[in-house]
Amino acid sequence: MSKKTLLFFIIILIAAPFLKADAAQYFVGVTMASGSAPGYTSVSGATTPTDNYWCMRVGTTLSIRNNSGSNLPVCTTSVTTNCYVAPTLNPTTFYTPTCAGDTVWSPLVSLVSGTPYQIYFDLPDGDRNYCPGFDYGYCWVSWEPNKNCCETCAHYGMEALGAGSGCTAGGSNCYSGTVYQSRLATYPNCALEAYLMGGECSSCTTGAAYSYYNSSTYACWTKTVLTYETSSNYTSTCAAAGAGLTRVCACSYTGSPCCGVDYYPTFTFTFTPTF
Amino acid sequence: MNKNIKIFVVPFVFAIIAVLIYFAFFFNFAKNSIAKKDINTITDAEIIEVLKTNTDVSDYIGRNSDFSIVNKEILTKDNILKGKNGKSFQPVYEGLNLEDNRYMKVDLTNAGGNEGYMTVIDFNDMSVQKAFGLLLFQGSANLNSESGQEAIAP
Repeated sequence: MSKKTLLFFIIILIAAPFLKADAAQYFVGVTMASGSAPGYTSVSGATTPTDNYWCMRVGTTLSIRNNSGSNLPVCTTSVTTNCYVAPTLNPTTFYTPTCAGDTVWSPLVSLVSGTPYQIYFDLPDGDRNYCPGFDYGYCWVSWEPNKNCCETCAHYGMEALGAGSGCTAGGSNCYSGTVYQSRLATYPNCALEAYLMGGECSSCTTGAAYSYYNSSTYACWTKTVLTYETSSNYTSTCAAAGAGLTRVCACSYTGSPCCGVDYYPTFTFTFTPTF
Repeated sequence: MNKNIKIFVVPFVFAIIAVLIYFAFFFNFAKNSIAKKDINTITDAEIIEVLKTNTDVSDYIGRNSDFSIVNKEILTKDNILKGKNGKSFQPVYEGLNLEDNRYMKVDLTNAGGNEGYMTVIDFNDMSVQKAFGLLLFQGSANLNSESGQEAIAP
């Protein structure tokens, strides 16, 4: 055997252990930061830089892609002994609104260290994507405790349902109890809030019927707690809700730059894992 | 004739040696040396000892000396069923038998909180049944959409 042949085998012997592809099965998570929503330009007059409650609606999809923009296959082959068939799909679909501060996870994918990938979000229709919930043609949002619907909707560059010119402190139209009540018919109180806000209805009773919720527990509050509402027959609705209470408001997009059709329907993060 | 045999035999012997050395690197001889532990009393140090028998987790631990166990959960039938039907992480639960107190799910993360491992230990044979990596990123708020891409470091 020649020296060259011997050298070849020695090299193979030394290199063999390092020839393993450095791939592993990963779930990729993204914690959506507070602040303006991706692709969402600041709304004039709104305090978007401090927004912490923008959301991606149900139906948004997340996919892990290679750097050419093709979706990676989910882990369906036994790349490692621990890789089982994943019943998930790439892309994966959000079943609840995903809001700033939430973490979303990809399906199980096989990543190779040092290779760039994309985390790709596709928002349905590109329309009104930054709302936690839609119903009856309105975007339903909440903001901070003790804010009325005029303040809450304006915070997102929208207008409170039925606001008209009455959307000022003390105005009578900034939150129309009558209209709002009809919206509640299908989804009474806590169930509505859970539906819209992605939480779980925790302690409502069927007797409760008003649009306040505890943002931590999703518990409902009845009108007996908010005496000023009963006395004003739901019209003094520009009033603050009270400390610790958060209003769920129906807002409409009137002249807002945020939510026209095809407005920024997708956005992408890139990353290069090293492991 | 002898020369022809030599041409084939020598490379064959080297190939066998190469294969043996290769497997020596990757076969985990320690896997079966872990003594059986009680799922209710096992310590973190013992859990890590078990996890290190998995090459992926061992590699992760080697790269993240600041790692810690952030969650330990003894799985029940209900946990496993719920996990299989969950919206995320179904592969962690796929293939597990529906048994109480057989598996422990152990989650690891590094100090930076950007890389972790989700594992399942089978206490029947003290083996690591599942080991999946977790990469967590912070989605930056000021991204450009569509054509805009922003690198986010792990």
